[in-house]
Amino acid sequence: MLANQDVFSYPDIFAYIHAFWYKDQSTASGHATMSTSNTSSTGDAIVKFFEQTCSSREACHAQAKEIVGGEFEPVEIQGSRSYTGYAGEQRRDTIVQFRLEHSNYDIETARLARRIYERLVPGWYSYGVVDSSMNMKKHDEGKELLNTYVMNRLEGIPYLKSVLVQFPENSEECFTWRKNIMTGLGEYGSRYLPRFLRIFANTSWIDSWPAPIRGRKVRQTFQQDILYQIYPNVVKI
Amino acid sequence: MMYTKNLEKIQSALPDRFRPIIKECLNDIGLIQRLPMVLLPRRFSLSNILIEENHCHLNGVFGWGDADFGPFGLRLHQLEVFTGRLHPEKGWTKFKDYEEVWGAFWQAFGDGIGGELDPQIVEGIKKIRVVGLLMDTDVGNEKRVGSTGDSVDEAGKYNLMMLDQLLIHPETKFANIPVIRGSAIQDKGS
Repeated sequence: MLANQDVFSYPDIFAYIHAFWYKDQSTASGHATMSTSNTSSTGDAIVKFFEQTCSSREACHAQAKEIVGGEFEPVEIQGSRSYTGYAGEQRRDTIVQFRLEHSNYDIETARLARRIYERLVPGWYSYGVVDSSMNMKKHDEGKELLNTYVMNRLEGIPYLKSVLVQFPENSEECFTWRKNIMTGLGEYGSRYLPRFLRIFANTSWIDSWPAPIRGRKVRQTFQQDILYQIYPNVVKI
Repeated sequence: MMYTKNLEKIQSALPDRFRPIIKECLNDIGLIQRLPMVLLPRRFSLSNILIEENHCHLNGVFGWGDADFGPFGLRLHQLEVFTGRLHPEKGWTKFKDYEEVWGAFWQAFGDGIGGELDPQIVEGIKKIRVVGLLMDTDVGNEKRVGSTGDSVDEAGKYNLMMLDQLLIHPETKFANIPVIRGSAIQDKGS
């Protein structure tokens, strides 16, 4: 069943954070995902990232601390358009991400995903621009603002770091594990279908779109309408 | 039509051996249009799937910030990466349990929807899986694959190899999608 809750709002984030805090792992792979890396490549990536922005690393750390508390700890692998780290008072149970303004996340879509897939998708919260009032001069010079996103940290490890990748691929253990993950993906894939199939099984979906909807201008509004039809319990307009 | 134009472009860029496969998709475009539109992350990959460490149960899916809407099954081909391995030279090989794990996938899917899926929808899913692969491999881009089907650069060559293996080669091509019948709830049917 789809969750029947209000749209994910600011105080909710803390509930989610505590529901999904990352259990500290004592294994090597657990450490690997959590450790702060000071390797030069990570360091270089971070330096390069901040060259594109009008915010400083310190401002980001301060922003993270203000929002969720605790010391900000960069994740091991950084993307080129974002600066990401663990934060949170005690358990580093939250992920804070700073993204260049041109690669902003569509927070509404991310929230919708959360509402449909529930625990399989992190809850997101957008927290605005990092020290927006202080660095407009740099912004005028072409440097980008950073937007802040906060998400809860889901329990687990990336597939890439799992035993499945380390074990011989055709071993008995891998057969069992692989079956587990594919079963999970099958369940996940089925989440959005039942309600939809009853409503639309006999309509040609795209043909039924009124012509203006195919234009880009009204796409967004239309998308919301569609969402409401498909996921009435999930979307509130 | 949403995919017709793309498919025609792709068809003209690819060697003739792909023609029957693309033609089937074009013929069944009506089935594709009847598929549910769903919210999809851009990419299912080994790095944006989170699993529980000891038993490898699914714990999370990332990549929703740039998610979009598409017919159900549009990114189904991306899950192949969990059921086989890509070698730099040999290309794609299926793991030994390939059929079994895909069986488990569809069984869980059927149980999740709690009923039997309309065979026409299954047919549509088969076609959109091919369309999704073709669109992801960027073969409509004529710079990548010449009009005679000769690949003009490394990426084109690689894309052609993948398409041959996933669409044509009997040992490596997509598994059939079985009759999807869930056992959890008996639906009234459509």
